[in-house]
Amino acid sequence: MANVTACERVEPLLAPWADGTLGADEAPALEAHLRACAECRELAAAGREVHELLRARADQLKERAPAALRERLAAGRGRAAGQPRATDLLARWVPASAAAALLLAVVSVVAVGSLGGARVLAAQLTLDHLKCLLLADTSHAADAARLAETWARDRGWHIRVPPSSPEARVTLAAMRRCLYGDGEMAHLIYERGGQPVSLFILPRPREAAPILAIMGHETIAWAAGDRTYAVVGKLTHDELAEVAGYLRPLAR
Amino acid sequence: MRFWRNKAPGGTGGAARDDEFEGEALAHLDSLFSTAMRLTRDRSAAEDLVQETFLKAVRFSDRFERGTNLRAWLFTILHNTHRNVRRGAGRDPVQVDSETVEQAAINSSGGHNPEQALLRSTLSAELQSALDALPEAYRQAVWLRDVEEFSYAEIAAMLEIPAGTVMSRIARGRRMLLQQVTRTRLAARE
Repeated sequence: MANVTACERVEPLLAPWADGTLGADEAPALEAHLRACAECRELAAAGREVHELLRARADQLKERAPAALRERLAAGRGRAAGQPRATDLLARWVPASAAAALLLAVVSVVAVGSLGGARVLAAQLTLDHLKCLLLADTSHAADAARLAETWARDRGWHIRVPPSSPEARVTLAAMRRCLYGDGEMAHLIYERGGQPVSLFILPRPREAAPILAIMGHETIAWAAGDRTYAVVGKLTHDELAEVAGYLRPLAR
Repeated sequence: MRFWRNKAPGGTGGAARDDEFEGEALAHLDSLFSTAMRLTRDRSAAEDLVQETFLKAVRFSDRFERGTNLRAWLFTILHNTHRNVRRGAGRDPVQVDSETVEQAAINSSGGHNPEQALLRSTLSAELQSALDALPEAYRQAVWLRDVEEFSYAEIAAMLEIPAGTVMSRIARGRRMLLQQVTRTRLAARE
């Protein structure tokens, strides 16, 4: 077992040796060991083989990003050149003035650790609310049951999605997955009177103030079971409270 | 995603800079997407991961030092984001993988003689599947080094692990890949 320490000592050198990046000062010691140790020799040879194969095939292994993804990401540039945005709905939802709000929200999220968790969370949700409007496909009404099913299948935890309701004047448009501090949350996007309203479902308890206004967007949050819920939108307080009143008993 | 730009104070100098930044970032899209595919092994999860990466990159573009390596910076954001998602899902893949694979490496060590011809005849699709079958910690280290050609130091910074660990994961990961490919090839012959 005298070899154990020697093998352990040279182990970090095997990978750079195999791809030809090992320094000239270290190579002789490694090669002396390789002559003496069949096991390390085999590991080194396998490394060289696989490295060469992967280099030769790198271009075939790389995939092209889907065109739709590229277009979404490049959307900012398209607009700057004076072209209309892909969906009219989106253009209506994100007026130029929201730009300033988003910029401020970014600044708050980055700069305000001291403001307290509730405010940071509300700022983060406002930011996600605006951000996801650019990424989500909101061109037609969505099926609540199907979204819930997709979520459970892809994410491994269940949510109940409140459906569209003509009485509550709420239309379900899209679902996204968003990230927050320590995990992922469900982001449901609704429309009410031409304005987007977001419902966030966080899978665990979070510090959240019941009502908070950030950059002209109000957040109404509540907790139920071990989950946290928040509704975000740029509506009047009464309108948003109405939407929250409709969503609250149905969301889970 | 940068619709605020026109309203931002300070004229168009910033806008031109932003445009340039975004253009440069988009040039790495295919690379980021391929890597996201190897990390998530799922198309829609990979798209989400890349979108999130771009949004963060644009959000924090002022923190990027011009003239430094934009590609490495984007990959760092990609891996951080991926780690956060996995943590949120309540498990630490690296730890799980390390145990499994440390064991696999011990079990399989010794006595294996690679057949070069067999390896060379491997189809790219088979190679892709073999890569995807590796535990994540090894898959990502080998991919970043051999396909994306990052340096050991860059990979260590990206994955937030010591360079020595990167090197040993790559050495072992390459051998596991060889064994995986050899198994598939031999099975195909029979």
